Amino acid sequence: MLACLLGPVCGGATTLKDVKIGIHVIDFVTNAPAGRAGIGIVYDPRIKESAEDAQLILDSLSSPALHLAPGLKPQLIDVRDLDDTANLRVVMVADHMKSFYDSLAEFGRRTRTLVLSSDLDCARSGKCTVSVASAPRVEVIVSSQQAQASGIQFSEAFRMMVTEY
Amino acid sequence: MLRRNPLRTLVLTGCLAGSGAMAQTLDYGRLEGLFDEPVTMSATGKPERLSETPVTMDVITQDDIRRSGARDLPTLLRRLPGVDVYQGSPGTGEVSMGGFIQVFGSRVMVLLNGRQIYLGSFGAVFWSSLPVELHEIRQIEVIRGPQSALYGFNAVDGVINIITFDPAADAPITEATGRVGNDARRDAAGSITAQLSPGIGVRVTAAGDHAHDEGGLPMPLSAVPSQDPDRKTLSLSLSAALPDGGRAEFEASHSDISERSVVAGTTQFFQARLQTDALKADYAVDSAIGRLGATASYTLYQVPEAFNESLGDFRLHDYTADAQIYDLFKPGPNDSVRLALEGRYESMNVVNFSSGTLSGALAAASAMWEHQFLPGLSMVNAVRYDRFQLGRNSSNLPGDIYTDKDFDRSLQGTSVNSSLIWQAGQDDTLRASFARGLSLPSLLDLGQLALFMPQYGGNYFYGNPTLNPSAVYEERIGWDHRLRDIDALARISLYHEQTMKIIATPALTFPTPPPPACGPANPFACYAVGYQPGTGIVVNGVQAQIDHKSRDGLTWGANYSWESLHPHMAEDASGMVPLLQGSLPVHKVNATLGYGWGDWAADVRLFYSTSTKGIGLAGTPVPQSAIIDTKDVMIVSPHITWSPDEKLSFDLSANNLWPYQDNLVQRNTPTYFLAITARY
Repeated sequence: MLACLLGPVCGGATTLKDVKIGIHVIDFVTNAPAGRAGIGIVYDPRIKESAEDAQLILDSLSSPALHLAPGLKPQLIDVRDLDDTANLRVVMVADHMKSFYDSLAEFGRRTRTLVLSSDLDCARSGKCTVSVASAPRVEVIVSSQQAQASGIQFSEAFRMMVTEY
Repeated sequence: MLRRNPLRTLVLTGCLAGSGAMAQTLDYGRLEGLFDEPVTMSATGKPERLSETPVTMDVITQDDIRRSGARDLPTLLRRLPGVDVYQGSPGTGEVSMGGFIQVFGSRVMVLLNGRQIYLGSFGAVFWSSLPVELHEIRQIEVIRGPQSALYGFNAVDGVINIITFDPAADAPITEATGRVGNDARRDAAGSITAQLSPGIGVRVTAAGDHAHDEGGLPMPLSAVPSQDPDRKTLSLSLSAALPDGGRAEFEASHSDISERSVVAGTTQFFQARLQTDALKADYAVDSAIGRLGATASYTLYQVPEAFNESLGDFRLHDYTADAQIYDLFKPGPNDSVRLALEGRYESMNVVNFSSGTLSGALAAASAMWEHQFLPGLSMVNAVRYDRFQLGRNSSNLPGDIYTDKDFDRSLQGTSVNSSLIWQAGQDDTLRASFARGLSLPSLLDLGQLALFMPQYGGNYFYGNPTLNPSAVYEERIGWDHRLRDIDALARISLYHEQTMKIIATPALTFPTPPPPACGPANPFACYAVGYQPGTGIVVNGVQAQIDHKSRDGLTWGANYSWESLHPHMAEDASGMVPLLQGSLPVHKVNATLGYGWGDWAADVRLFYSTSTKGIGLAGTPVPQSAIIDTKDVMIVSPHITWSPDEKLSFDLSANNLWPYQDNLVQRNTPTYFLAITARY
């Protein structure tokens, strides 16, 4: 879903800048659980666009230009194997995953994991914890309901500057 | 330029050169990285993106500073729309907005990382005493219009908040700059940043500037003691991320400057040495009730030596202690609230001619509420109540018409800011605001006493403890539009400002003997500071700008200000009304053109200002002080920089080329200099 950054209509490749914004959001979680270092890029391998977008996100996260914190380990996760995955700090949702929003939201609440998407509607509808967009200007939307249910807290300065639903 | 009170100004010019409005313990770097634009807390007291602030403001970034070729803050600020700078000497500058350039009557609140630099006892900002070097500044935030509801008394024409890099959270600054130029200019500045442990950083900065004053005074240099401008500063900044998730900052600084300058609005010079010492501590933490913050600061101003041709030698001892606490929280998704309390104590003693130690104890409470009606449509309301308890410990100088009891009173008032902001799509932002600010008379206004002036008929001149804060009202609308095709931002704002009372001396011509009514019941008759009769001053203005900024390739920009000042006051012998009327340049234009290629960048800046009235020397055979018309001002400032690698850069700059030269004693002296910077 990070491919949806160019507007309300999904499409287009995820850029490094898109991923960079997502990574910045992680910095503002004030109660990150200790010992969790995984960044799960959740996709559906049966959908070509989803798989391609997930690979783009992985490539971006691996880019030296991103300066990803040494402790964070990105990995691709088939959405069907999500429940078998442990130690995730963040779930980044790839493109064309709308049909899995409910299960992703439930996963986030159950495992107290930040669910991050580039589909702004995902956070607006309370399914994702945070949705981001980088163009034409940076937008960050937080679902207060999902964040609270997942036990995730953000810094007050961050909350002051984002749109909460 | 506006002369406010020449005699009082004269007295006070023995000094060359506060307390804060809010803590700055904010991780600007991370938030800027997230939102891809500058972040500020200066507009409302809560962190905001620059594009979303409800007020008209400019931000000068470190990139802007590097491309500017400027070596001081007033030069940088003059390039913004609606900002006036009066240059009294090569080392001094008075910065104003809204048309009121007044020495010891500044209406612009200036802060360094939230610590008030504006010296309330003098009503002045001594720019060259600021213990900050340009290379350690993250951004300079400039807000126009009254902001007293956030910053308290005297933030009535605007706020300038200088934010430095965080020694722990930002990339460390370790660099040294040497500069040589004309007039025997030789400057050196250096910073060292060290990471003491993860999350704890400290930066130490030292600087020394010196130049030879080539003159420009309205009398031969041989007639006055020599005083080349000299400046030394030392500062320490420490930042630490604490185990509780909070952040603490500590700052300590010392500055020592010597200057000779001509006083704006007079033909008098002064020279003095000013020493400033400051301490500040901030702490902020997220808690169950929001973001809590506390700030404490102490600033000591001392003038160990000062000289004026009329006053002779005098000295100053002044200090300000300030403490603030605030809570910033979101009670709901669409609301943000900030509650704050502030206490401040200031004391001043002008040895030799004051009536004793004057002091003021301020207590203030403020609240800010932001509400978002719809995505993109929000409103900000702020209110602040200030109470200032005046006091005096008299030294019983002869000629005193007051007793200490006359100073046992409080001055109080309420300030308001209300703004509506609408982001109409991705490229347009519209703002409308109303503000009521309060200008508090300085301690010198309130209590200056026992200034015995033999050249004015042997009379005394007095402050006036019966003065009250003066209200300033402003309505402003603004429109920002991003031009995507040319990657430029265009902005326009229109404002209407009314100042209800203007403080002035009653007359420049003094009857002899003094009026019989002179006494505590009628201090105005004793040549005391008072209000100019009338209903105040109205200023209408338009500010427009367009900028395209780029490190590589073409960069360009221009701004234009039109401002018209109308004194609604009766003319009297003081000459203040015609001077006020013509003191504000009606048209001002700034233009920038630059190009960056590879390791090189070159820029040229133009400044044009229409003529004004001012105090100068006129007449023959012996020139006398008089209100005169000045010529238009045109200033050209080119700059070229070469950075062969990230660790080394060479800057060749000139400022004030094609300077205005007239019998008005402003000192826009041309300067040329070469700077070499090494970074580690």
